[in-house]
Amino acid sequence: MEEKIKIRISPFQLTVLIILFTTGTTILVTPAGMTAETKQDAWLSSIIGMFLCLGYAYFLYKCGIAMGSKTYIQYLEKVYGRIVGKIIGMLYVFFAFIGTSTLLSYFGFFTTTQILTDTPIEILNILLVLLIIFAVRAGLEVIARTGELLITWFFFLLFALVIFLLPELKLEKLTPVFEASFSDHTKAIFNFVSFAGFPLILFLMFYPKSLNQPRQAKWNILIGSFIGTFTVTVITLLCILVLGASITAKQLYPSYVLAKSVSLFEIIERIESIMASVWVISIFFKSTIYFYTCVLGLAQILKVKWYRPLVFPLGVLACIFSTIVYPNIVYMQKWDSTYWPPYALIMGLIIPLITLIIDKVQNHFRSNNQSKGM
Amino acid sequence: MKNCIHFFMLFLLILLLSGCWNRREVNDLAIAVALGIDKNKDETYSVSVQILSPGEVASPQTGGGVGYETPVTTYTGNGRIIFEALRKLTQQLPNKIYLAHIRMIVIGESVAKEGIYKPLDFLSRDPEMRTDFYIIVSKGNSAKEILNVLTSHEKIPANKLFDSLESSSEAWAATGKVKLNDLIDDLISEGTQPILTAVKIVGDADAGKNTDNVLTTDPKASLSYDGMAAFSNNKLAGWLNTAESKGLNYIKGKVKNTIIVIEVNKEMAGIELVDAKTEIIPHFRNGEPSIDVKITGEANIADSNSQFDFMNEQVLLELEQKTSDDIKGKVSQALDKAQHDLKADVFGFGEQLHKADPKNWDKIKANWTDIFPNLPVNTTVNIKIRRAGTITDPFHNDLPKE
Repeated sequence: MEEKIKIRISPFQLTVLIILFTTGTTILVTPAGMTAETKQDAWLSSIIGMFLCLGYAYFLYKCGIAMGSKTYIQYLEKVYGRIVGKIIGMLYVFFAFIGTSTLLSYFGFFTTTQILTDTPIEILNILLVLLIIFAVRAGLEVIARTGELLITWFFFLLFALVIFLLPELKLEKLTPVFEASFSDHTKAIFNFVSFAGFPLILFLMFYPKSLNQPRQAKWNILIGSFIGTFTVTVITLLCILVLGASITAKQLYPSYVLAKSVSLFEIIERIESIMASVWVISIFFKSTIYFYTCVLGLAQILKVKWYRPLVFPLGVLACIFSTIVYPNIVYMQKWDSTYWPPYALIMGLIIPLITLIIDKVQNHFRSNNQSKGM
Repeated sequence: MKNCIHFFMLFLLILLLSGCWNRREVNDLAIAVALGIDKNKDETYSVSVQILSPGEVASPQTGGGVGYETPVTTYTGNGRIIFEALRKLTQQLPNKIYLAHIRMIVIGESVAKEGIYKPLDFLSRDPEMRTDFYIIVSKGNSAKEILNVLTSHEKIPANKLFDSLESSSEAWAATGKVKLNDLIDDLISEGTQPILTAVKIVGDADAGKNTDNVLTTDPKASLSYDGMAAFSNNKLAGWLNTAESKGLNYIKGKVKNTIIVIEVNKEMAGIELVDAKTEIIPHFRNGEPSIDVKITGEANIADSNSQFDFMNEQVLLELEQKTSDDIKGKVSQALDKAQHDLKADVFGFGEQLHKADPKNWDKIKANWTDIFPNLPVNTTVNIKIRRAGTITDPFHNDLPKE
């Protein structure tokens, strides 16, 4: 598979994918989680989280350099040996699989709660999963090009929302500033980074191998992460400025409620579908990338020639799993706030960090041995 | 051949994807424009819904207006919770109620006395509900009676209430526009208590139900706003009259435009306040809270029924002084009522102290209800009169002496 068909995306397309991936679920739910912890100071946690995400993106870039021409799965096998490498690889495939299912479920829950209240959730999940299967079968290049097309709309609609909300801003909702304690901030920032940062680890499944100019990627990754997290920060700030911290914290989907409060000259009103479409665009890309890396990772572990045959069965599995992954809304809240952050931390930071260190040590000894041998 | 199949599939998609699973046509909707919530004696809620009669609201040219219907119909259902009451109403109504176009929520006095939090949960939780309606409290009458009154000039009573609240809060300043999120914000805040505008029926409540009420130039019953309802710990603490409501709005900085009648030597002059600004400056002196309220603004002379020499600067200064005194009087009436009678911090002073000094506020917030009645509040008012309308001295000055 490696030699026959070369999948190549440009560094700019990588940036686009990172932006859409970062904003994905984050834009809809994190404002509530963060304001629940730090109240009106959530914007501050968000900004700190933004810089941590930047640092994390830089770490991923470094991982990419260390991996060289290998994919993450191959790299794990190289560092830990074949068996252990495959087991750890499977953990990542499962991570991506869980991610796909939870996102499908998110989409279903959101749509049935706010917009299509009588539609069976399975139908919505099936619709989205069909789209994802279609996209993943078409391949990364097609996904990336679709991203390039849709990101204009994404930012256009988001920008429109921000402009329409300007008259509703109440600056006094931000006061008193700096009230939240250090531990509150830590929790909120951890929550933020675990949604907007750590899942980016999955990009290593195809980056830097699938990039046509791997050396230029540094700024593209950093800028992608910056723009993505900045968007989330702006939305969080708007939620606080318009709705106030206590109302935001109580909402399941605060940014949707945010869009509900637009009332410009009594003409531009009730435009919450804008917010919904912005979010659907980003969740489509987030779940597609999750699913793509899941399939790609599994194909590499199983050493099958081409990943396409795996797409449909895995898609069906993900769809079925999506109906049970969150049995109810309470479980979803609990999972997101309690279990997901440490899970993402282990998968996103701890394992790759250990891998990187072991690899460096191995390289060190190897080169020492070589120099001794000479 | 393959193209044909693709083409066919595209058509199939159009058929399948264009419709909504749970679509509801406009003529299948019972569009609710106002909701009234009362409490019965047996602990159940009685929910009144004002439903549009589309045929009556449409203009006659487009085929509406058969003439045997009222523009709206009010249905009432009982239930232990709001949701139950609303769903029970399907037994009386031809269609399911559509809540997205609600403009006013009237909370009955009975509910206000019991506590307003409980019914608010449904309003905030239901996805069909939008949060851009205003909430008011009925005074003297039940919410049902309020919703039963037909109004002339504006056919839909809910719209009448909505527009009248907007215009009165802009030009008279003794009412307040409160939306759901503001109300909830005030309810859960430790340093502020909610207030809602009160509405009452002027005239005969029973007569208001009939279309006769709008077929006359002098309606027997009409709806009118009358001061405000102050809440304390979720329950109705008392009513503010018009003067106190104005005083409250001065403090909250919500006065956009209002009129002030002042008396000099038993002669009256009307002053139009056009641009008032309020600054609340919270202090902690040795941990003791105090509040300075600074009101500044501009005014015009709008009316006079006597012989003022407006072109005399001394008179103008006196008018300015009297205007400031009048505002100060209203403010102190509101303060007196809230601090000593209602013991409810409807001004949000606690929240201001919180914003200014979170650490000191933490120390006193537990005792805030005890501290508030004795909170020192200094008011300074400074109003400048700039213009005098389109004429100079009143005509009265040139009247022949009797």
